[in-house]
Amino acid sequence: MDRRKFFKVSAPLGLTPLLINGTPLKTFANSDLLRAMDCTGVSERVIVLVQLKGGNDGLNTLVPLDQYATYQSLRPNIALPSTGANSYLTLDNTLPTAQHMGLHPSMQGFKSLYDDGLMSIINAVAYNSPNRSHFKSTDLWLTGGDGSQTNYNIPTGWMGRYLDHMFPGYAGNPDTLMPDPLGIQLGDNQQSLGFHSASEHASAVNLSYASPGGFYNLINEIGGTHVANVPNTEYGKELEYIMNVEDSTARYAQRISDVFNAGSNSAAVTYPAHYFANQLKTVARLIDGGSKTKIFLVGLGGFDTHVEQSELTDPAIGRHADLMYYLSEGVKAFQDDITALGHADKVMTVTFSEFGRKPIENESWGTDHGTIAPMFVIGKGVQPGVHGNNPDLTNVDNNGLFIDEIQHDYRQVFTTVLQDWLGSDDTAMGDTYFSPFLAQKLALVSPTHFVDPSCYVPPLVNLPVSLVSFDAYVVDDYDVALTWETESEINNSHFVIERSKDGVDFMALVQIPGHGTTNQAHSYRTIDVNPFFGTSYYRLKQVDYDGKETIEDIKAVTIEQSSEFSIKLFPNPASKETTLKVISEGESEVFFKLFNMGGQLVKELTLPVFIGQNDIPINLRGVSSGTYFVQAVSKKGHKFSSKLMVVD
Amino acid sequence: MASLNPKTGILGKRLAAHLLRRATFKISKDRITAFSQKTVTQAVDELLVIQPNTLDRPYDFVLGGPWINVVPEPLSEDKSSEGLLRQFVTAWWLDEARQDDSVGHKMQYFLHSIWIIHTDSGRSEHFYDYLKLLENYQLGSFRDLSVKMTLNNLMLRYLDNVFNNKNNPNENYARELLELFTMGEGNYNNDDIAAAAEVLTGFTWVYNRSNIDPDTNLPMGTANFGNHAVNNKTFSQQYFPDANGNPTVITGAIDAADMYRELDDFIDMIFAQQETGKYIVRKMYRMFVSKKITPEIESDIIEPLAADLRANNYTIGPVLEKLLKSEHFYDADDSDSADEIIGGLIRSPLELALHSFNYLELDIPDPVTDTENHYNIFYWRGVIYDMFLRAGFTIFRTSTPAGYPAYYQEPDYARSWFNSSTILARYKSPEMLIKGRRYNSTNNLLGAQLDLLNYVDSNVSNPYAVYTLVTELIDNMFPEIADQDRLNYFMDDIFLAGTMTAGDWAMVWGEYKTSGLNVEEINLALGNLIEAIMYSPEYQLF
Repeated sequence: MDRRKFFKVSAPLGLTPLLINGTPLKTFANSDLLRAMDCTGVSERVIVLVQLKGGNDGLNTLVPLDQYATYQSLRPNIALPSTGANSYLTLDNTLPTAQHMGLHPSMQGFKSLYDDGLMSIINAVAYNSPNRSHFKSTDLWLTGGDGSQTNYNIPTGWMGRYLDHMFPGYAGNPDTLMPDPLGIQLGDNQQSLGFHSASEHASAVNLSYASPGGFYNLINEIGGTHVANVPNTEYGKELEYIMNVEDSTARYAQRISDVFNAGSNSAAVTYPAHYFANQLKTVARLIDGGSKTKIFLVGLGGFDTHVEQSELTDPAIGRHADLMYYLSEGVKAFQDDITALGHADKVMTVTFSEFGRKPIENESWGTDHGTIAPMFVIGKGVQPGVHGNNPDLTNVDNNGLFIDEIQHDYRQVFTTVLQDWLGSDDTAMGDTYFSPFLAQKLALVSPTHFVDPSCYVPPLVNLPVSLVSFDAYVVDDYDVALTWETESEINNSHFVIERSKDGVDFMALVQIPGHGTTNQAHSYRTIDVNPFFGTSYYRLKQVDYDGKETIEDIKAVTIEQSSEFSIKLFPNPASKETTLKVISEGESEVFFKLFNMGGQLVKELTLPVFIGQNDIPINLRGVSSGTYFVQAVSKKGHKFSSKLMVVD
Repeated sequence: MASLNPKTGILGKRLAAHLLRRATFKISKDRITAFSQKTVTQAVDELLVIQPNTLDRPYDFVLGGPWINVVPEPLSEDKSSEGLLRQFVTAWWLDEARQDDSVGHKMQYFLHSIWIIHTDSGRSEHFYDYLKLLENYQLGSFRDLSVKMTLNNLMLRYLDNVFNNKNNPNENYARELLELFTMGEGNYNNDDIAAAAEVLTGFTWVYNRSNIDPDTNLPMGTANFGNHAVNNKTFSQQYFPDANGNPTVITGAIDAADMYRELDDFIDMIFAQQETGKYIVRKMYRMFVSKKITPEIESDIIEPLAADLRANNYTIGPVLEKLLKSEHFYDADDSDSADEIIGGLIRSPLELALHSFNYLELDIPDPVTDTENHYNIFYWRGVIYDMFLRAGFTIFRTSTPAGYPAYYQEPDYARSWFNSSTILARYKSPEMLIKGRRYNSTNNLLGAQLDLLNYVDSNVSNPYAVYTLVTELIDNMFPEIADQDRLNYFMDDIFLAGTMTAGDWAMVWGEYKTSGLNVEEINLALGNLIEAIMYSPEYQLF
């Protein structure tokens, strides 16, 4: 076995990396040597996902040097040269021949990351029955799907599902335990499907086109009070959606600005002046500022290189070369930055693209949609090396597509990163829909950083709502006030107040939204304006986002029957409208008359009255301002009279 | 059951506003009032009468006139840069859309949302030709448009068909034609894409626009027979069976002229498939009605309309007409006429802007006499950049040929217009319009400013009365009537804001009417109110 450069940097405590014939051993989770690890810092780790949009040409990212002649014949115009100033960069001559590959000459940054033992390359990644539509394939990568019927239309994103499991109820509900958005997306102001979760709040905040530093000031200036009565209609559902986005944006805005302003980038590192590098620069600064965000998603677009992928005069320059440069230099600068800032042990970066391109070039110095492409995993915690061999360039059908050259499923990579790097247990992987790949993890995390099952991070604690008090009491002779306070809440969707005549059969009366997850005290109050006569019972029920219900407390209240019938008028003075408040023990009618001071009848109404309290609106529009006299007489002869002031 | 039965009776204000919001970019108090008196048939028929453009092509402020089809062509130093000129073409389209009484520009936008291009794939003139092509087919045959769009210079360049030749076909256009423009994913296989790409080999653009299509009078590309694959093209039996159930074979062209016949045969094959009609109608349904297509909607609405479309050479006007006249469009086909459809879509930045300009009677600089302010300041910098781009709406310049996620991305659709990165720009545009300043700027002029005082004076029946003022302003700006709670909020918390009483306001307004006083104070109070209405959740919906 050849000595490899990265042995020097990756071998911890004299432990030889477990490599067989150049391929790192599938998994070393059960190795006793690794058992006793220190769990410090595991829960603070994050991942940065780099999405290469449009389908990256894997064969001009990593040239298969063992088949260079075939490569050249498939790509006479765009093959990267083997000699000269712009020749490909030989990755590592010490690898077995089947893994001899040449990096695109623009990728000096990746070359040095590899040489420093900070990079793992996974060859020939896709999923079963790969789709060659940009849009469908992107959806599949983001939802954790594949070409099979069962996994073809998953409605939620795998990042969203993962974050939902690890931070239940926290999406859109920051608190001191998790003050940050669970995910942050940059570089595309359309929300990524990847963060789409089943909960009502999106699991990520999108920071594209906003300066994180001034985010709060801008958000703080805008927005109004929410709609109180949301109808149960399509219109109402969209209103709810908008208010949820407003809420979570506002809740996170201050924190994002604070974190951004508290952090800095290393003065020693220069990022390329490019939008992609700027995204990573922002991520580094947020991490430095103390962000606990778990998943950052950044993007680089323009990989759909059907045409003029390279210049006619020189295959090593042109569109794809530029993309390779910005990718490589951006990620390299980011890695240098977080290292200089002291966060290298926290961050792992993973690149992906919706598909690779055909091995055969087209006539336009470009390549059409293909299937497999490599993924790169970068970071101090990476087990450096190369997984899988160069794809077989002779195994190509008459459309110029690879036949069955898929060596890795992308979910193997993400499953490994989520478990061996972020330390999520099998249950979390189940909720992410990645269980089938637990048995196929790759050795992507170095022994120094590999998370042992004893260090798996549990979902963020889900304490019940801590109720301080619950009271029910009579106000204004006839209303029942219900008040309660909580000290903290986690995952609290809403409360339900229920009422019963006998203390046995309870009926829901009103639903009050909770505060989700919060460490702050909250008090709640609602009024039952139509209570039963005599003694009745009120019960407080709390409901979690996942529907779990807890009965918190029961209180009894007695309404004294001072009289069988009472009438009140309010407000008074009134404009436009006043209310006749009638309390009755039986069904009846009230004859209402309004006289002006001259004794002329202005308004006359016959009003039906039901058992209990009746709030009957009296329209005063068209009644000019002044003093009036109200007379109300019930069928049974109860009389009520009062002065009424009508004002503008 | 969802029903395409024609809705009968007078529209009334709520449904008139719904129709105008969904079918046009032009809503105003007067228009809503006028349409509320019409029957559904009268109203829709009127909207289907296409209006001519007010200006047939954009002006450049440097040149002081149009640059498209001007002979001799102005030199580059006489006019603005190409990049700016393309924005001016967009500005021209926007201003025509704003003024269009009919469904015309909304339909052009609908067609564009399917037939995606990027302005930068060609010159401003090519982009203009593309828009004119959409205009030409706004109510016409989608099938015929498919042929013309395949031969459109900008499209030929955008999806690389100019590079598609017999020696090594470039599949880019072939794939998107089937996947995005006509059939949808899952209705063809990879061999069909390869065969389609071969059919399309040799069609290329004519950069100087010298080849005029006699059908449309618009510049088109051309057939280069030397680059065309002459073989017969065989499509899959599974997806493209011919009349006898055998794989369709398209006969290879024998000369350049015959290439158009071959293309026609190929387009016919696509449009012979049931899926094609359904794909187009689903797109139309999502643009005009709702994002939710249930199995019931599929069988009661989509399939019958798709059958109409097929039976009528894919002419879209009559299908749109049937949809807009249907009980379903007005949520009148079940017991609850307020639980679906009305107000159930999030406004795109396009609708947000144009509806606001029209409804609040924004005075926009004249394109001919105040060209720079119209094109360069107001539309390009103010609208396209500040209101659209910042809000995630890259009009005519989407990052992928799938277009705007609001029209294709399951499950969110129009919700994708509203997220934490677009909220700022959406909520900042009212401030821009009220202050007449660009995004977050105190100095840079927007080029236009709302005149709320005069707007209220001429549109509110009794501006002295706070209740009337607030109620009438909110009325029609929200898709559904606001309840008393909500009115109180806008009246007490926003307008009076604890600093004045209803009586104070009546006095302030009275002094303005009698002596012209208090203009600043009135504009401030009205500004606060309009701003709050425009960034309410209700106003995001239409």
